[in-house]
Amino acid sequence: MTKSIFSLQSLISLFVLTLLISEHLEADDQSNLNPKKVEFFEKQVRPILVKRCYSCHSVSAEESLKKKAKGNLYLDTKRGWVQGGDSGQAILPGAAESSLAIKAIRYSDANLKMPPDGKLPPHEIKILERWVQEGAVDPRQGKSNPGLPSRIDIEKARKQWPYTKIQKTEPPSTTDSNWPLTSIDRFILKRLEDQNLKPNGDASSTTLVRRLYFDLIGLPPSPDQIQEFENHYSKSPTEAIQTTAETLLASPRFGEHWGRKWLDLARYADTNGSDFNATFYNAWRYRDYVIHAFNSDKPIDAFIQEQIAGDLIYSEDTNPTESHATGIIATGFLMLGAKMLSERDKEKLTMDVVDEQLDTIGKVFMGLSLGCARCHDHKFDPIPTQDYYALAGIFKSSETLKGEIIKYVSDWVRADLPVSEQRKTEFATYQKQTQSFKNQIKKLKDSIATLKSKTPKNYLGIIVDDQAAKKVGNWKSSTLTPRYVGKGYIHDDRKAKGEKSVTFIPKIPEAGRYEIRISYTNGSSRANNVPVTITHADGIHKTHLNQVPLPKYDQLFEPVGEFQFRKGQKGSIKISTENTVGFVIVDAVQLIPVKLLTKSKSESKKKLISEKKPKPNQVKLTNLQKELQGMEAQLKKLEKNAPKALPKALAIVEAKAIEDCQVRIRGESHNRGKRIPRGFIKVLSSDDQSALLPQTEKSGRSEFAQWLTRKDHPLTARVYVNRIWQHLMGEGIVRTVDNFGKLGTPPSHPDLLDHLAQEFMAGAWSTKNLIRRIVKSKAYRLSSHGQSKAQVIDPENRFLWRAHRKVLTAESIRDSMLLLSGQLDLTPSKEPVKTFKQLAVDNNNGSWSGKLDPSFQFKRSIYQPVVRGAIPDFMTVFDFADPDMSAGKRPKTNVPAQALLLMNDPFVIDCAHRFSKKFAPNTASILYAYLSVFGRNPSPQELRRAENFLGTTSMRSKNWSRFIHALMASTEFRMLD
Amino acid sequence: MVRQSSIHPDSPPASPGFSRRSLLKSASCGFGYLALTHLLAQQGLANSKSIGKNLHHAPKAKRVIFLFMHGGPSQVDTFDYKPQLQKDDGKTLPFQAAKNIDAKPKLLKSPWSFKRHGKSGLWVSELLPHTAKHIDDLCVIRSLHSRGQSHGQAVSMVHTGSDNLVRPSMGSWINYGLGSENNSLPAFVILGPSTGHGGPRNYGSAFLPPHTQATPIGANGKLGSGNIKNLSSSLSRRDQRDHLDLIQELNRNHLQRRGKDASIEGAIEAYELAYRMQGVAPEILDLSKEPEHIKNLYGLEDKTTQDFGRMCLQARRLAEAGVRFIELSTGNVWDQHGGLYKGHERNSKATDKPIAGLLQDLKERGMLDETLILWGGEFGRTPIVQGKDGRDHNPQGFTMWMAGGGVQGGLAYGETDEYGYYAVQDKVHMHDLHATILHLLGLDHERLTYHYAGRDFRLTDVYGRVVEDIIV
Repeated sequence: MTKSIFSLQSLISLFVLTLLISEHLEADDQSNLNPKKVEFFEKQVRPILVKRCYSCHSVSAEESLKKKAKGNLYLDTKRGWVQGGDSGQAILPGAAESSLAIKAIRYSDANLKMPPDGKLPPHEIKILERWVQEGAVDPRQGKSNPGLPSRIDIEKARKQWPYTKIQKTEPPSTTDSNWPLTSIDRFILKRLEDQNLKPNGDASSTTLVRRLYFDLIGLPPSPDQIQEFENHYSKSPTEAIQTTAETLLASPRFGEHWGRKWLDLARYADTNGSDFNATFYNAWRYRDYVIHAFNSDKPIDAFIQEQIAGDLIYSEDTNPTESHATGIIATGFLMLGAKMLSERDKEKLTMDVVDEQLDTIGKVFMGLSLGCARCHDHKFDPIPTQDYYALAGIFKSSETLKGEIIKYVSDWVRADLPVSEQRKTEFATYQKQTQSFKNQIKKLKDSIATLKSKTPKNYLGIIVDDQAAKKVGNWKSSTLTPRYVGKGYIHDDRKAKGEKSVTFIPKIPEAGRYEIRISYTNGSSRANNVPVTITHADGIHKTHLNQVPLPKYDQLFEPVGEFQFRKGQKGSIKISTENTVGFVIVDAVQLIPVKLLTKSKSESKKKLISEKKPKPNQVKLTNLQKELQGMEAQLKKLEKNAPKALPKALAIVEAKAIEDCQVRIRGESHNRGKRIPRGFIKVLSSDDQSALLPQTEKSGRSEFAQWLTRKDHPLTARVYVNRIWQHLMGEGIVRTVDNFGKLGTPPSHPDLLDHLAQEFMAGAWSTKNLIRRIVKSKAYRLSSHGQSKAQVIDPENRFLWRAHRKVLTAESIRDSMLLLSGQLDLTPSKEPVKTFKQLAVDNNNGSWSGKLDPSFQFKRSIYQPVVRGAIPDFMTVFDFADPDMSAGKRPKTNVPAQALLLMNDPFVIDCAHRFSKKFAPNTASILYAYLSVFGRNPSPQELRRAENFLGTTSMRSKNWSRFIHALMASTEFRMLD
Repeated sequence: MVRQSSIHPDSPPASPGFSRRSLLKSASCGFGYLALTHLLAQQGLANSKSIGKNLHHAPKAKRVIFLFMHGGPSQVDTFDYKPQLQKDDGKTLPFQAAKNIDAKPKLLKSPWSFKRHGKSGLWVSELLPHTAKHIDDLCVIRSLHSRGQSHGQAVSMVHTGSDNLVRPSMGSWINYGLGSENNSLPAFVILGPSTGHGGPRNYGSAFLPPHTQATPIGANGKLGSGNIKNLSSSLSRRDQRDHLDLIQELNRNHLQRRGKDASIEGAIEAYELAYRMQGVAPEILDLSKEPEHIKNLYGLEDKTTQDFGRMCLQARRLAEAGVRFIELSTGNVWDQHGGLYKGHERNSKATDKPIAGLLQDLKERGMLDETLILWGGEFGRTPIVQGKDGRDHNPQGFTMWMAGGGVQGGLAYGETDEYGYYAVQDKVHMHDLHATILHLLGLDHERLTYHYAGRDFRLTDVYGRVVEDIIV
């Protein structure tokens, strides 16, 4: 607390001083400078600056290194240090103590040490201190700091794409009025005509039906479905496409396919990854929420709002009642990031988590790289650091991390999901009942133990248990190794050797000679030279006890000699730990009058125990044990019929402290600057006022969610529509789908993008409607063939003269192989990581720590666990999105690893084999295989080649499987023409 | 042995009909060339004949072998001899210890004795007698410092230059910048990588093209079978070729039906590369044909040294075959919070002889000059005691050494304080080390950038300076 007050004060004083100096500077004139001070500067100060600082903080450094001065601080002109760098003004004339530069060279602040590679010699520090203290007279003139970033002009930026409001655009008219089928096509054709490009013709019906199936549900059409489509298409292409699209949009497979694309954005995983790969047992609820959202065509504005603030938007009173649970689960979006849980600096960890959330939100919903503004104003986009911390305040006022799993390793929030009162009561009653049983059982067990512990009374002679002994130092009690006297034994934990001891003082009923026996639980970890000191009537005897072997009597007692003792408490037996290495065990000592032992040597073993018959409490003991058994049986029964545990979700909650966030200078979590009122991004608000968070008692997530999905938000709808377009058409209208900023690519069809965004919002933010509109278009139907002329003018197909050739996702490849081999199980599944341990990956061999139910391997890929750091090879090789980062566009690679996998992976070989087993290797089967795998019939030449490969009768069966394998390994299967 | 890549932009295409662009795009093993042409185009340096030999400046090293001592070996028990620490054993540390550690502020002397070695007379403890023989080839940096008090962050720092964000591994950056010298092998190979503390993300490509990530062999300090996944086929070489011919024919039909298409062309080339790799890689990965005296040099005959010995020998073979970046991990074994004596003794025994063997073997083959060896952990250990006989994590000051590849041998650079705790003189931050490594390979760490999510990223973020003083 004191610290923040301090920094606030220093900030204010800094601000005041800056004002003064700036004014002073204007009037600065070399002739007014004190010549003595100038001389001091020239002779003493300047050489140090040149030698020690210029290599990083000067214009010449900038020129020679082709980079800006470090931290944007220039020390080669007066104006340079007055304006200061990223951390603020470097030197406060007359105030050496408060000057950042002086702090830096003193190395007094861990975050600010200059020069970085070693402290200056003391005399140089003194010179610089004196110079600053005496007013920092500096005759060096020069233009204003060239390294300072130019001020962000928010007002101007609001008038530039993509920060302008989404425009209402009318489809343009085109020369060829026959070609366009929908308004989309008019936008496309206009640009093609402008470029003098001719679009391709339509793709064949077989290509189209395959395209539709994979695009909409991620699975291939069956030969029958292909046939059906072709029949329909030959009568009416438009109707065929529409009907098929409707069927596919209504299929539960649709949400599984499109939900997965959203999971890429949400960096979905079932484990934390990072340094501590903890299992997220409840993440799947978010996954299922996403699948359901796409299947039920949840309006996207609501979908976005829920993921930011679902817990706040709905309450227990919301109708329908499930919405509250849904809202909580949806905020899993904010929780899914990979967190450095073992970061010991928790302030830094908290800021890192907020940063990860902001960066993801920026990319996913707005196509902006907000993370850039954490350390400095965004260099390219109009996002000042202040906007970043205005948002950071909202998310810092929300709680993601809570408690620790183990020391230094942070734990995260698990939110309770609302359940019916009845269920709550049921569960509470159950918990109460089991607890009550458990308490009673414990009591009974204690009573039994106490009863049993009285058994030492039955030992011969005198028993002194460790509980009655005098202990020095810290002894640990244990019952780990059974067979001990009394309730347990104690050991030294191999610590503070030589500092601990236990002394037994027996009460001797009558003087005489006694044999001393010491009880211990033996083992190889025990000390073999435990010092034992016996103080007896005739003096002191020292000996050592080896606790490794089994004790001689009753596997418990080891004799250490016979000694004379007087009556009363005059003697003692001391066990100590000096010079021992292993555990020293102390349990009890037994003193047996020698006369009892001499009776009969052969009986001596039994003689440990008195011959007195049945223990007086045997009856009581039996009763207690019966009672215990009864209780345990009841508890077991209760537990067997336990109500389901109350559900929890991986979800964010409001933090205890709701507060604005301080700027972290240069992104250093401990380098605090000004406190910024919570709010939103200014350039995306209609004016500065509407970028402020309205008065609220809460974090502000709810208000942020509203702000993000309002209809005049310039980016949200554009970014979303562009994503859907990309998945269907192969590339986005803005190709850098996650970056609409200055360094992204500009839109190829800005009017079309706005047109789609407008209609999307007008159509209740419906994804399915948007998809319908796009697949109905002429542009969607085009063939993907090359065209020699267009290839030259527009090799990247920016103007969409053809369809982009797409590559099947890893999921589609795997799911299709399972489908073709007749193994795909289309039922959904829950709790993918239920059997996993707390750490999801076994540190010894890198495999998953849980065993999957065998049924899982035939489920669709979206239902497989996503274990960060241990994604199955098959998925990574085919460019599965790295779940560590939000990904709007998967990389497309073409690597030998894919070829190796397709040629040699047992899964692929097995799928091919199973497919081949279904059909005899004949011509009809070859046709069927082509239709199933490629979605088309083979040409006569292809058929001949296939026949050739199958070869003679003897080889046919083996070659048939290899032939199917070749089809599955080929590009035509993996690519979507 | 080092072969000229056949996908050199000036060399004729492998088969007629393939565009140069598609070849570049497809040739993943030699993918670096694509990165390179992009990079050079950016810099306006494309079409240079000396492509690959000379990126930003003349390189001193062609490749890197990183001996990663995971867990953090103790500097004051290996290379950073501190007489004052030996003297003040048991006394209270006279200055502030780092935050968030479990060690007591009580000094713990090294249980091992130190001796001067070689012409340079540098100190090495008795833990590493074999490495000590090569001291005149080592450049011992005793003033490393890094971020991350816990393993996760520090392991990420040494690999990616970031302690919290997902960033490409140093090997991926180098792969991206330089590519492979052998178009039948991956350019970045990691032997025995740890699965913990971030696992694959430490040798992953993050946002760089996925081809630049490491190909792992074995896990957790062991080479295992020593094979690359999916490399072996159940078919005879002849049947494989027949099968491949069919696949390629299907692919060429596809290409023909669809017209010119770079992605199909790329896949066709990838198949040929894969087939070549199947032919070449098993031989390179097979250690059995090495002569006995070489096997003995690496300690393969001895149980204590054979695990790391096999990795070191494998590293040399991969280096010979043109792999750019080879990392060897001991697995997380150096983390002696307790039992320092036993643990460090065991780890040193397991690695010392194999490492010395590698240095000698490379030298005898004339490869040491062009191979940069880097040794070290994610951090060092405290000179103060944890528990009875342990040391805690210490990113504040620790030692790494480099050898070959353009660094000065027999040089000790930088210093820690009198107890070996904090780096104080000529400090070298992890970013500086990365900058220096890139520099030695002919890459300017400020110009080796990748444009992603709206900005240019670097291995060294906005930091890093080349430590010129250690370069020959």
